[in-house]
Amino acid sequence: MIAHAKRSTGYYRWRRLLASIWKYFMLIALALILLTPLYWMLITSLKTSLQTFALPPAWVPDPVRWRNYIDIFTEVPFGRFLLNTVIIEFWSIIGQVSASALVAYGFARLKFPGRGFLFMLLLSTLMVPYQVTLIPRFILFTKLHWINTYLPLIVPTFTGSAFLIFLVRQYMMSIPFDLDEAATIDGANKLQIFWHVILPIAKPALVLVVVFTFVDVWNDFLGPLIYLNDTAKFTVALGLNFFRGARETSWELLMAAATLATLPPTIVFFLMQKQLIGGISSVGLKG
Amino acid sequence: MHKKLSLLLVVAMLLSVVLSACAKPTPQVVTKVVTKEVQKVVTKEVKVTTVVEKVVTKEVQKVVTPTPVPLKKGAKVTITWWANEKGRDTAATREMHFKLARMFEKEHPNIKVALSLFPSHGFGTRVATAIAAGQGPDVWYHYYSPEIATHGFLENLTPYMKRDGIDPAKLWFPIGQVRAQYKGNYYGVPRDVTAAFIVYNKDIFDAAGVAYPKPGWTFADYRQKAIALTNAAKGTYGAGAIVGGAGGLEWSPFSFNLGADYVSPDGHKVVGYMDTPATINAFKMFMDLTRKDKVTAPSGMSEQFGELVFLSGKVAMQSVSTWEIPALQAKAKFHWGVVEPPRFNKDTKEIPWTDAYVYYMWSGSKHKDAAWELLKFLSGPEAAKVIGESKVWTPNSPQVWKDLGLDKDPVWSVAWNELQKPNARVANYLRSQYQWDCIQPVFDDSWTYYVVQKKDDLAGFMKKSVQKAQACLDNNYNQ
Repeated sequence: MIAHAKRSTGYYRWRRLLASIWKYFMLIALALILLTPLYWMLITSLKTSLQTFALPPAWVPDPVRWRNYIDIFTEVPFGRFLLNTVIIEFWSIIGQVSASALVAYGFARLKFPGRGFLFMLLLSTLMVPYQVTLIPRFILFTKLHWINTYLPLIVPTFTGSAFLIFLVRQYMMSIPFDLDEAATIDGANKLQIFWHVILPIAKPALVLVVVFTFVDVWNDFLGPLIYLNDTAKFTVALGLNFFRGARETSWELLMAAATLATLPPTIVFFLMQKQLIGGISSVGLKG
Repeated sequence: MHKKLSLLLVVAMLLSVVLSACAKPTPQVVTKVVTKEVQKVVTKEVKVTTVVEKVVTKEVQKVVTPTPVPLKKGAKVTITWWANEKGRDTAATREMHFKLARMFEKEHPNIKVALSLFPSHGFGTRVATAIAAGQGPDVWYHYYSPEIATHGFLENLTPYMKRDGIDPAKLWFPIGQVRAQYKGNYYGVPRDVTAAFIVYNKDIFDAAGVAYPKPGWTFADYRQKAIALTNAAKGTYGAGAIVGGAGGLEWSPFSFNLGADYVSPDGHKVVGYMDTPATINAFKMFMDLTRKDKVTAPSGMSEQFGELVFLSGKVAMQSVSTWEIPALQAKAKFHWGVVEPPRFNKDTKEIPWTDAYVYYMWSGSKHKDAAWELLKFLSGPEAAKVIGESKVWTPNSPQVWKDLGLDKDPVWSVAWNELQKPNARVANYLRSQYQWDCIQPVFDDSWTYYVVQKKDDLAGFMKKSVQKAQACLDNNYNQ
């Protein structure tokens, strides 16, 4: 009996171990598949232009051409592009977070006539394609003399984005109203409730807003293309496209620039990973 | 207090609703573009341009109210010149642009040039949006179809040229003149010229014991050599990567030489051009290089359209143009030569594939005389020399070619000869502004039908597709 029990324990231990090995094998295999494009980007960034399309493909660059990382700064002012993007990022994040939080708070916690209609109206703007408003917006910003400045890229973020407002509003809706009532009894006004009660609790949703805005601004090609004229004011997304011509592409430089351009969003993701996962699971949305 | 706050929040929300349409849409606008293959991106890019340009037609009438200001002595004006990077040698390209701008400013102290360099991708959209909003550049260059002149946003330059005694025949190659004209009027001036030819890897030819191609060769010669030079086991291919119509009849010098003038000169008709036995046969011959002879490099190699496929050293012959010569000269690690494109057969004459980018002036420019001065300079011999020396583009002027010795150069002279040949005409793919929406799908679909699906009734399939393409063209032109 005891021997049988020992055998069973050993069997189950082996089974658990095998299941574990299988699980990790699958996870590693999937991770490798997902990492292959990143790896390809990295090795291409270290190749010569001739090696980029050599057959059979070289999985390890030989020779390793670190110079590509210098060339991207001499071929175009890539450092300037990075700095410009960071400036736009900073103000856009402030704009989106403050607007999303404030407007979402109004929709989620305040009761007023026409709230539902206004919210539907807000959501309906999600269905307006970007291209439809492109020319009217350009005319508007031209009349405001904002062309070739960062204002057309930053100021609209202070009006919020329908999607991000919706996201934060959904999160705020899930916070019990008892908290508002308790704060009201303690003498807090609406703004104090927003600032001291709701905002700290809504932090995970706001982290999502930060990450979404960061990625959105980082990848935005059309906005800077349309509103900026001076190369010195261009952003990373525009800068990357300098290596892509109508007929020619400097793949090795493009990949070196892309590798650098991928770093900041990756760092932001890792720094905010915990809150981000928490935010996604609580809001029930994926980016 | 509560009421005031509530009112404030409601106002904020109302503002948000109204202005959120102005805000950028949430994530993912551009990242998709980066991953697509170059030729596809080019196609999409042009599609976007076309869509926005449709708006231009309507908006130009309303928004643009040009008030030309004559250039007075002593009066200083600033004009805008928009240009784009070429994707390679960006520093050299930028340096050349600014050198030209500064040279012009030195010669015209009362005109300042505000030069902006954009990425090539999205440039058409940038220009079209600005024009539609009444804020177009004074001067820019692009590769529009000549019939883009019908949209009304290009200034007719013929009066300026007559006024200043400009004789295009003396200044520019024939293709430069043809590309800048629409119905006898000049709506632009040529920026550069290019000509296509065949480049071949001498090392691969020598290893296979195949004779180098010579002028006057035919498509049959080309095919035989490609077959003899292909060694799939070694990964060497007779011909460069060819994908669909774009890599075949449309872009390459084969377009005219196989008798496939697939669209009418005015770009309005494909029935009677694209569905003729000659065109269908030409396209079939071309696709058979891939389907039956298996002599073309894998389509994956065409990611880098043009020179790098050849530079891999695994491709024996490739059609390239003058745009690729500097890269070939700088990077090829093997022996190579150039030869004119093959003709259909010994009895037919070779018809050159030549092309040019064109500088334009916006019809809404407020400084037309100043813009004209810049155009005159940029398309003139002085700028052509700077352009030729920089090797960023190929000069538009035959005289500058001679001055730089390009007409005698062993490589450039092949392009020179192509540019001298008579009957320069606009390439098939540039004749209709609806090429990418209406005509291109016929090539793509035929490629899929004949090469990918290996079906045989190509004539029947193409005839049906051509009818659809014609309906699409009629629909667009009759709007």
